[in-house]
Amino acid sequence: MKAPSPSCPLPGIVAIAATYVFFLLFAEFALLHLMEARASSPGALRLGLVWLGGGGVLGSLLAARFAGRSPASAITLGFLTCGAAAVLAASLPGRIPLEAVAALTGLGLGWLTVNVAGNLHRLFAGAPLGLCTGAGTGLAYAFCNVPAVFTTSPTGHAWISAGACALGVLASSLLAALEPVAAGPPSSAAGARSPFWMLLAACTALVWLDSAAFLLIQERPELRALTWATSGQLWTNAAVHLAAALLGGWLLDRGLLRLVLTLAGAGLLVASFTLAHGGPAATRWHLLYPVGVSLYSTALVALPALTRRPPGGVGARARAAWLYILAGWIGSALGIGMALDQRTIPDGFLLAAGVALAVMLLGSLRGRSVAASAGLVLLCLPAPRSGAADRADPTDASTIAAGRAVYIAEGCIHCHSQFVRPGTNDELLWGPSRPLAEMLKEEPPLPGNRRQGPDLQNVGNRRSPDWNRLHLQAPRTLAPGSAMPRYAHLFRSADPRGEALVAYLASLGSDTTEARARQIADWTPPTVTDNSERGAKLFGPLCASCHGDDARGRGPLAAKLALPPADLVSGPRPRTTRDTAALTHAALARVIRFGIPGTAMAGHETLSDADVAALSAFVGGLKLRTAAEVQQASSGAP
Amino acid sequence: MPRASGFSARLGDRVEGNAAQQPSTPHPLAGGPPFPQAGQGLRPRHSSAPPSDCPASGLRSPVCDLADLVARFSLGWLAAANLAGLLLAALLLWPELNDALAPLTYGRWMPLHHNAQLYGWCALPLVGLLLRVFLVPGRAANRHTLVVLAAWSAALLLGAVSWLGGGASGKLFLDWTGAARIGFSLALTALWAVLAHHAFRRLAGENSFGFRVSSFGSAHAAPAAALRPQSSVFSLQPSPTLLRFALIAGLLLVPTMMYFSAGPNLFPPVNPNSGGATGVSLYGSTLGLLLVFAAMPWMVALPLQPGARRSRLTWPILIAALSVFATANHGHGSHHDRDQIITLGLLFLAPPLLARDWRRFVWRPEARGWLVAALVWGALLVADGWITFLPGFSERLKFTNALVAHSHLAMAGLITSVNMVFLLHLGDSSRVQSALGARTPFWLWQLAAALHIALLLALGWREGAAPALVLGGGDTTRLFYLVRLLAGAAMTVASLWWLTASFRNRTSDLLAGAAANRLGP
Repeated sequence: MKAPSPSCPLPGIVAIAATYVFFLLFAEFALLHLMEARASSPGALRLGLVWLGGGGVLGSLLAARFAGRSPASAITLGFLTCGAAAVLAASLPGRIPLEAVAALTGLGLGWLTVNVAGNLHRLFAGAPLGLCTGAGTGLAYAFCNVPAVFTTSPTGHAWISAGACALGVLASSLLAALEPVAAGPPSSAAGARSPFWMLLAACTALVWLDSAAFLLIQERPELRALTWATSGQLWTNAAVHLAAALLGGWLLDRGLLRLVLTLAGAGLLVASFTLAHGGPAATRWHLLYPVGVSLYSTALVALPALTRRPPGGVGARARAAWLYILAGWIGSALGIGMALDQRTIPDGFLLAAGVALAVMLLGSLRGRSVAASAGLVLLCLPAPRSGAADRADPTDASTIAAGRAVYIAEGCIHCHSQFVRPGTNDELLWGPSRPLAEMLKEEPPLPGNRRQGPDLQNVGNRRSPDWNRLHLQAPRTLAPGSAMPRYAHLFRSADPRGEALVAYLASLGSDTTEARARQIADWTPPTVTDNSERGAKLFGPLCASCHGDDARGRGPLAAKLALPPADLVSGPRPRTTRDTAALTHAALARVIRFGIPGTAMAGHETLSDADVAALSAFVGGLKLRTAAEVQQASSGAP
Repeated sequence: MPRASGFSARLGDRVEGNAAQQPSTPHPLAGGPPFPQAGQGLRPRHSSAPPSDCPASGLRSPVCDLADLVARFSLGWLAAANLAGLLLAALLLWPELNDALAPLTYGRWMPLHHNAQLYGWCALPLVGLLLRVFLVPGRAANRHTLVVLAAWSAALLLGAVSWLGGGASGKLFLDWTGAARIGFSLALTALWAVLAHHAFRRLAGENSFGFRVSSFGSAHAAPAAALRPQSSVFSLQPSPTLLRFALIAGLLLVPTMMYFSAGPNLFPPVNPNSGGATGVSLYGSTLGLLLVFAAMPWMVALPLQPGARRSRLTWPILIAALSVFATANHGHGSHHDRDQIITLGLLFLAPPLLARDWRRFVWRPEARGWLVAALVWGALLVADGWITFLPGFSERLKFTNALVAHSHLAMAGLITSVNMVFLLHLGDSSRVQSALGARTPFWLWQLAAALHIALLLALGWREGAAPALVLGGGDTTRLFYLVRLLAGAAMTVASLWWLTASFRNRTSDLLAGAAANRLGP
């Protein structure tokens, strides 16, 4: 083994800088923009990301497996692959599937990063490893933040990245002239005091955090305006990145790896918290984001070289592979996924990440293990739900959205479908069908696959909010025999969930009211039968809770309804003003079957025609009876 | 020495004697000699001495056997899922019970039951199978097995907390959201990391990467040979490491894809006329399961029956089946479309082909009943699934209890039977063999599952014609639900029996009892 001999660190610095420029400008920016521009659906972009990540992991694995005799050749091969991907994307737009370019990019980048980081001792033999790494990292970040570079088109970014790769090839050709040196970790390998897996976990948390924050800034115009909208901001960012990276490298050379990661974590946590919440604090603290990014990016490159090989452990290249697979590719996938899913960075996640990072980087080994577990548990706590809906406006979109969240949370989909099958009896039972494309616009669609209860696609024009409110609180008083649970707890004081759910149900089918009215009008009522005895038996369980046992509109639920139920014995009946027998029967049958939209009078859609006819006959004859007779008949007494 | 079971055309027959005396063909994924020798299990079978990789103190440790561990975790989730199912059946029968449980009402328990079955009971034996293929035996293997199973179960527990706490995603089959979604992806990542770690350890111990050079003279010749139509990968004897490596690369996509697929804006193709899955989707998902079923004997290195040959049909059939899936219409196909019906109908070929393939291997005697049950349930499942998909039948049965019957046919019938076979072949655990080979719980489960399914199917058929039957909750429905509850209770008892038996010590009583109460003649 030869001792490291002093050599020019410039090619190594250029190699690191070129790698980062390619990653930042092309892999993380231009390629995604190009894919987004050509994606036919949101799923296509995600598929591209999967190809990119898959290629990256494969490239890292291959780099770890195949040592090669010359590190310089391996690095050259990586730059050539990356450069080819950038050129393909820039020069052949539309002619080559971007998924293939993404896979090639991932493959090249995975190979390149592992070979660069895994050979850092060779690149900087005799030179301050940390500072050189920081210089390469900082220069790359600074270059990418130069306004002319930053604001160019995705295709321009691709060409610049290709140029960076060409520079990388040149640098690696100079590396080839250097004598290979087998060197152990430098004296500054303070990271060895921490197990590699713990540093790996800390880096994963940092990349996760960074990716989520990056996507958040990209997705929110107000945050973009705050961070990288003007030339002044970009120049500031460039300077901050360079200074932070150099500082990080300098600290690394003094054996302060854990301090660098801790500072990076603190910066990212504060910046992420303030960015996620917006307001004046975001203006004050957003610069901590580039500080944190540059600090940990420098450490990420140097870490495989700065950690000692444990007994029976893996070498620098294998450590680099694990680091970039788990922290780099999977960490960023989790961060991007979280930001896309949550549209923010949850406070619970920040807290958990903070606890985990603090103890992993600062505590004793045992304390770190305990805290890592605690951090994981914290991380796993359900995210606070934003369900607070105002009762004031049931047509308000946010109230309806909150009601939908309640519908999902309570698992209503396990008993209720929201899919009326076109051309089937469903349409008569549950209202008009709707185009599939409309359902698929929902996130997520809720067709359900079981009907323990009725279909709810059009429940808004079949049941009034009054009825739904009562039914949710005491289902079997309105629907005897129903297996529906009581949800009275959702309506307790100060709990907005019940009213939000009622508002959501009212919104379902609000656009099909006319079509439903046409269905009802087209329905042919069953012929009159003289089976009022059967009708009387049905009246008790189906009608008496509102209309009362005596049919006078004084049932136990009557007081809870905005519109009092009709007095079926002596009062006027809606929609039955022309009191000829046939018309009365037809109108009554329709009301019994389909209810009266806009009132608490609900239909009995699943009653058989015979039962509808019997009930209609009974109700039709009520005017000829006294209240006592009605009560006697409906209770079944002789 | 227990006898090895031949699952042959003579289902009642078994192959006598030690399979070590039989010609057996190791397969590329098997790192060690095939069953019923020591196999790839973490300790030798029927050995009174500790295995080399498992010291005496370790032998007494529960961490020392892959089969034991996987069985305990899997059966634990089966029992948990069944208990949740039992509660659900009771809540349907006595809805007032919901008041006592509020806010933990029916809808919050459903995802727990559903997902404990899907991601606990159904998935963990497959996880065990992967571990069986990848792990390099040793102390680390035992520790890593425990880590993977614990991480997986922790993710499921987190999911349980989430579902019961109202953290559902609204998607029926990928109900992971918020922290639970991240936790599950991390558990998958942990599994992948362990598999990759062991794959790397194997790589480090090999001189060549890829195909076995000695077979072909040069490493470059092998890929070309692999393209020969009459060849199969297995007959080429590629390096097991290559296959493992390929599998590792493929598995890497799983955590990310699972994470993204669970998102609210990705939804599978929908049958525009029924709101359910398309025929091609059903065909694809079933095909995936069938591939695992067919690969299982290779993955656990089962020896071939004396005189049995490698099937020349395996690869052409596999390629044809995958080609059908690749070229089928993956859009929103209707059950009125002829191609969807025909594609789904191709699954009728699966049970006989699978039976033919499985017959060529020597199985453990305790697995024979489960194998027969798996094929019977599989055939019924295919028939039920296809008929339910047909126009007319779909309109009548979709959204009814018949669909619940179909789910139970798949889970309680087919998957449970196959999983028991998996568990029996993960290693040489006498506890697992005694537990899963016992006759009484086997028949209790099978009969109760059959009754459960028949009841729901009958109720669904009636409900399809008269929805009020279930919506109104009349006496007939309550009677159906009561009997169904009893059947569910019987299945729960069986699962608890297996779970407790998997923890029992190897006492002479147990062995004697098991010997007298073993499945098979």
